[in-house]
Amino acid sequence: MKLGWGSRLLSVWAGVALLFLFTPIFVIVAFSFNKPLSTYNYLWHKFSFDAWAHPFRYSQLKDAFLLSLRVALLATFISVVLGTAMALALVKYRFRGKGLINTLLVLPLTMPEVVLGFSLLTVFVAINWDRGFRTVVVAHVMFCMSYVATTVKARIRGFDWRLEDAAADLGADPWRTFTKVTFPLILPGVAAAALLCFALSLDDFIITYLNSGLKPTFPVAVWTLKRAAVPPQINVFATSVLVVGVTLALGGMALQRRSARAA
Amino acid sequence: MGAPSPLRLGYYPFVPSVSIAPIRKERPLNAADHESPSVTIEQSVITLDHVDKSFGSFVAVRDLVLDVAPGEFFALLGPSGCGKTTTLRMIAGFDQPTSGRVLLGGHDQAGIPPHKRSINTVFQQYALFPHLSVFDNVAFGPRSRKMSGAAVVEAVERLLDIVHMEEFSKRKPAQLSGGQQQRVALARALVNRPSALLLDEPLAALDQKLRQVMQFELKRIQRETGTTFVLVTHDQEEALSMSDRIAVMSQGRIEQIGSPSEIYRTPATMFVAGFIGTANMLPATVVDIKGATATVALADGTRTRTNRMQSGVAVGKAVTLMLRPESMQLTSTRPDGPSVAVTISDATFQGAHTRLALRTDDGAMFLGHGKGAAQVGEQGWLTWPDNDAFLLAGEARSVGATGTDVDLVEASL
Repeated sequence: MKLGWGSRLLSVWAGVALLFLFTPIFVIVAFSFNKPLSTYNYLWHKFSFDAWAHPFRYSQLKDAFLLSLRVALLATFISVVLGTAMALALVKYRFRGKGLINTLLVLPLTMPEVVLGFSLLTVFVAINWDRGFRTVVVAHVMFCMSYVATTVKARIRGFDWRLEDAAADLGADPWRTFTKVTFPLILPGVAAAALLCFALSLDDFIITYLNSGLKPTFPVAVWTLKRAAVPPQINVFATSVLVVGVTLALGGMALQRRSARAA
Repeated sequence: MGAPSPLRLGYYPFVPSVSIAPIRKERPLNAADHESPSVTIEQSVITLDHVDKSFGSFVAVRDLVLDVAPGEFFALLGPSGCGKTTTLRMIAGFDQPTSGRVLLGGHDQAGIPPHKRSINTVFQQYALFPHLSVFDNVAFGPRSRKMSGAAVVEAVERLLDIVHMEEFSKRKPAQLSGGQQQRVALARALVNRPSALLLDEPLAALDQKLRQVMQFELKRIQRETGTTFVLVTHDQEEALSMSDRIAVMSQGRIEQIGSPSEIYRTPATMFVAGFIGTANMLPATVVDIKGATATVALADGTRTRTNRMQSGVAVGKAVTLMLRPESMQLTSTRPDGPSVAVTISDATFQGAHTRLALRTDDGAMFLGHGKGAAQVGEQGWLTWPDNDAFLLAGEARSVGATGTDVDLVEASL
């Protein structure tokens, strides 16, 4: 098919938009292979596998990255359990105060992070909790839970609750009904929420910065290190996360397509 | 019912030739087990003892009393919103009665959740588990009851064989037709050897042709498994053709319980007369009752006799004559007996007879059967043999044919 000049212009325009979106990501990946002249990885000097060969050269970056992973895993797990339970309750049952909870649920999503971070800090100081791993996890669970509850809620809106009746009717106790019927069916929604949650936790700076104390997470460590150096190892970590993230997303899509074809 | 028969004690309503290993712990019917043993309670699979159910201020079911006997095909029939599905949900344990008792095999089920009841359900639209294969759907019940692997396979294969679905065991529900899903739902609900199977509008999702096939299939499967079936339906034809007994419900109450021919021939209430089949209603007054025969006078003064009537019919009282279309004949000359002058407004050839829609001068519509050719616009007299009319106490809401909408639509075509 021959394209008119209008359509051609549109394609070019789309290309420019995509380029705009992906240039920063491309730069991050490319600069992980840079061997910078100074301690700042800002200018391209020459191609090298140095940073990939020694990703853990800067121990504060390594520690921060591992801490971030631990925080993200734990916060995701807790948020997914609590948020999914919340979503199920909000969709399945009618109870007093449901509307209020639905409203409160989106509040953490809309409130400026600085405000959230400071309120949490106030609370932790008031109850005399030292800032550290514990406070960071609690803070992340707080904002992640809202995302999980909202995402899962949207995904299970069309759930056929008679399937739970059918399971109970066939002799399954509530736990078996949940593990064998409800959970497998809402799993795609829960998995999507978990991925989102993990990414948000790994990425969060403001709330974490205000509540992390002496042990920084990866974004906080990068921020701190910036005064002295910006080594290509940062790009190595970022690229690794990107690769894992994209792989998970593609894997999820493939799985969904396969189950859609089977259904 | 006579004295309790000792043979009935411990009766388990499952034909032994279908040898599925017992899944559920059987509860022997032991008279000492329950507080107020009575004959009916011991012999029935399901007993509703003055059951009421309200949701807020809405009363869904009131003062329901019924017994379902072992091996019976029992139907709860009524228009939508009459409380039949609520009744089913209370038997299955999804809803608790507001007052009254639900007993299964003589045991009060108060506080017993659905997963601990000896009853299984075929849900409306089947509610098959979409993520499980046909085999795993059917195996869900036995596995929930902790049956061993080999026994599960045997039980599932047996049931899939009974419902003719053995070749489809690896398919997912979405890969099956409506009729096939129906069969899987039946197998899934029967594999646990329930003391009774509840069916909630099981044929509503199927097209007309498949519905007829499945009616036969349901009867066959019921015979083969010897299970008590309780069918909930709004379709009178379905209930009449399949059931041993029918409970007709309206506005939360049971209007009548009886065999299909009982409720068709001797309806207990005006509602039953109008809801089951087509009934032609004629107002009349009782002139005389001698023995079993009542003489009534129609509005025009002509008299007719019948020995079929409700209790409560008394001399001097207003009554309603109920006449089924098949007992009404159209004659071209005025007969000696009782008759109604009519004009043929519609004639539908139906093979064995012609279905006639007949209009009186007052504008009332009657439905009757005619033989041979009938000309629209032709005039004649409707008449009926003595004893074919059934007397209902009280005045009907309207004169002429009542019936389900389907009948009237059909008649007007």
